[in-house]
This record gives sequence, C-alpha cells and structure tokens, in this order.
Amino acid sequence: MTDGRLDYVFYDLDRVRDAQLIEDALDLGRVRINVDRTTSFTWVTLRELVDAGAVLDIDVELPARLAMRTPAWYEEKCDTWNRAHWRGLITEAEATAELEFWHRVCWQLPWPQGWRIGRIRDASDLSDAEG
Amino acid sequence: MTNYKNDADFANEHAPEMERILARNLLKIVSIKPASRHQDQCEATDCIIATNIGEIAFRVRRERCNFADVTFRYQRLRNGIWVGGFEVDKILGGYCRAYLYAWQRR
Repeated sequence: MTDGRLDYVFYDLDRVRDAQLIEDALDLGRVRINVDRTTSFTWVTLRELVDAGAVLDIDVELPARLAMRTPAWYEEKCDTWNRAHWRGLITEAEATAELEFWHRVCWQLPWPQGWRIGRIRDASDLSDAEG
Repeated sequence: MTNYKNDADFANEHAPEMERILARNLLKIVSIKPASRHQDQCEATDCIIATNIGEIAFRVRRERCNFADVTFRYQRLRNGIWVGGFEVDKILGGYCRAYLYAWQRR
C-alpha cells in the first residue's frame, strides 16, 4: 500500500516465526554488514513474506510493484548491487546508478518479466515508474 | 554513519504518516465487541475495543533502500566484538506480533 511518501505493508511476525523465515535466511548466509561496518543484518524478501502468508491485507490497494511481486531477476540485481555497497566495494552513487537503471528496465518489461501492465496502474504507480 | 539518534529522528519524522496509515486501516486491525453485562455494570464500558493483531511495531526504511526487503538487525560491533541480542533474537524470542513496515518512496 502507499501513503504519500511511504510504501508499506502490515505483516505478521507469528507467520514469519512459523515459516522459519529468519532461521532460513541465516542458514542461507544472508547477513549484510552495513557500510560503516558496525552492524549486520539478515533479511527476508517481500516475496517470501507473501508466500508465507505473513503479509496482512494483501488483497487491498497494493501498489503494482508490490502486488505483482518482484521478478526474480530483479531481486538478484538489487541484491547484488546492494551487497556490493553494503560491503564497501562500490560507492553509494555507483550502486544507486545501477539500481536505478535496472529499476527502469523492470518497469519497461511486460509482466511477468517486469512490472509493465497498464490496466492496474494508478497515478501513484505511474509516478513510481517515472522515478 | 547511522546511530540510534539519527535512526530515531528519521523514524519520528514519519510519525504523522504512520498515524494516517493506522487510521486508514483501523477497522481492519481492531474489533469492537459489546461489553458483557459484568463489564458494563462493573467496569464502566459499553464495548471493548481490541486490536486483532496485538501490539503493532513500526519501522521505516530510508529511500536509499532500493529493494523492498525486510531486514532484521543481527549483530553489532561493540568494542571490537560482534554481539547479538538485537532484532533477530528479540523476534525469534517471541517479541511482538505485528509490524507496520514502510519504505520511503524515491
């Protein structure tokens, strides 16, 4: 869902725990060290939350890029460049340029390879596409 | 560099949006039940308003987050040693039921 400057979801931590998403993420070695090298995180993807039934109100007003889920190839691109930045291998500007490029590509590819599917877009989704 | 104060200030900036989001979704996350006779007569209420999903935690991610993922703080470096006891441990330990999780739009 979208409210002004925020995209958001409600999710249910009981479902996250039941599905062992955090344990699985750690088993997969998903640990990012922040660029200042003082904090590490593990993460789950929105797709995993959806698949686990952990996202509440999934049928209401989701912006297209969340409702249609993220194409796997785009997740991999984002993950690769985010990791490189988190590890200090590239600058934030370099990572941003790469991510913005692939974000535009994703919007230009038709569903399911990308997010282009005109009939369910609304004004906020179009502004997202242009951003 | 991020620190607690920066993170808290950033989250507080979004408090009005968080309130709007909660207000918009209020009827999806609360239930209103008529009070029992005992509650009416002894506890001064005509109805009970409860959330369906317990306490709701809120977290907002910065716009430089280019990937709509959900992160959990795992360890922090303190005096040269990585220590745990943060979000991963708290959540696995059962803390909190529901999260309102937001990504700042670019």
